[in-house]
Amino acid sequence: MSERSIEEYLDLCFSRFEETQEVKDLKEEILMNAKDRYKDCIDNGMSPEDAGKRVIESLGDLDSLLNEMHAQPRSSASDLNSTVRDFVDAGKDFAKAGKSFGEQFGELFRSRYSGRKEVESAFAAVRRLELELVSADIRFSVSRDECVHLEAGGMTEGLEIREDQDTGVVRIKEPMAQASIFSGGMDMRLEIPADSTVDVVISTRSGDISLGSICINSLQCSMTSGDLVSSGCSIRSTAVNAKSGDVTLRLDKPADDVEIVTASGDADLACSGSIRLLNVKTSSGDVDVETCGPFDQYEIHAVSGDVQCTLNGVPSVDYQGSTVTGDVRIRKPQSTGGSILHIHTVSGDITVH
Amino acid sequence: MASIASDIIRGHTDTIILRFLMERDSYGYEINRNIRRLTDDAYELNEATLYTAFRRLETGGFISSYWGSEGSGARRRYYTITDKGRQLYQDNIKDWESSKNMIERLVK
Repeated sequence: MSERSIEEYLDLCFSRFEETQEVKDLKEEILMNAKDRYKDCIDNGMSPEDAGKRVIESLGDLDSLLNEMHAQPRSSASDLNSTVRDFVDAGKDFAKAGKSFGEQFGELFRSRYSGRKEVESAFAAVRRLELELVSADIRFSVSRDECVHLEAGGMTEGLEIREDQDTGVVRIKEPMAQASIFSGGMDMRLEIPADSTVDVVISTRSGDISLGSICINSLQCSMTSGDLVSSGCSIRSTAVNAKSGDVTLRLDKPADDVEIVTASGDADLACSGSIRLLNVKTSSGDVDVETCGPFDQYEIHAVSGDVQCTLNGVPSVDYQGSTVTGDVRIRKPQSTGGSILHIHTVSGDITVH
Repeated sequence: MASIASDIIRGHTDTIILRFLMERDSYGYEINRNIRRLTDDAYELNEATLYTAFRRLETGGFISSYWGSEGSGARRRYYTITDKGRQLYQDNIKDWESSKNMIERLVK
């Protein structure tokens, strides 16, 4: 273990905090003193390994020191916390274990941050695809054969893939600790057979989802900050729940139902066929809907977001809407008993044509 | 070192730091080296405890810090005691004397 490793260890301890002047100064101060201690230990005849161990041991609980200083965790650090903690804990363990610290530290470092492996799998007769993701971006496209193909690149260490051939369920799970300070992360590509009737369930935090011209039976999607973008898809039933992510859905075949719930994300839906039932709820996101053909009922709720509906091929609508302060412009004949259109906003504007 | 002694010493971290700064300006590792020397290597503060105490004393106006330059262009943070710090040190010593006597009467 060298002086350089001590510096790397401190970098890790401090990496989850915003680098303010105060935090930078503290790090510089601690590093300088740690180097003094290291030099003292070496001068007293200790091996570099033992000296390194002693230095790390003597650091104590830097996390609570930084917390006490009210150092701000890095904004993107939520997933990093656990990673950095792991390092700190591992460092303490190594120190206790009395083994070669430098060696083990290096090993841990390499296993976490250079575990770049490519994953390639194919599954036949898939009925349901369940993806539990954290930060990996995923892209769907059409397969050239009857199989679902998975390709993953980047930080694929610990990626769980399970296939139940009896039920046709394939589960893919991204490990939590995968989020990397050295960036890169993981990206995935999934190929779905043409005209498939597979059900797709995705949950993700920050990963983006992109659907390219695929045909599936249903899509159930929940994401925190990730966006969903689709182009020319055929999905019989769609349910998307997003917090800050935007939802852009382009369907080119009629659909039974679409449900989109977002907090601040925008909902942008266009279908070149009809959608029988539509349910959109958002707080501050804007809603833009364009569909073709008559429908049973559209239910759209927004708080501050604006709602715009373009209803092609619908002679008249049974509009029942309300807004508190928003402007309402309905440029469609209204009649009872037709396609039912419910639009409610608080301050958002409502436009229908 | 017996944990009871460690616990008692830990309660006087601020006073110990002030004591060394009464002699002359100093920095973290030097203070720790002095503690080791005076306790025959039986005790020292870990960095986190030491810097927490520095922050606390500096925020309270008992010590102040400045960056001194080392030969190789590196900077080292030195601490210096303020008048308020000298006063705190004298008060703490009085407190210590009286509690030391009290504890002695209680335990013997």
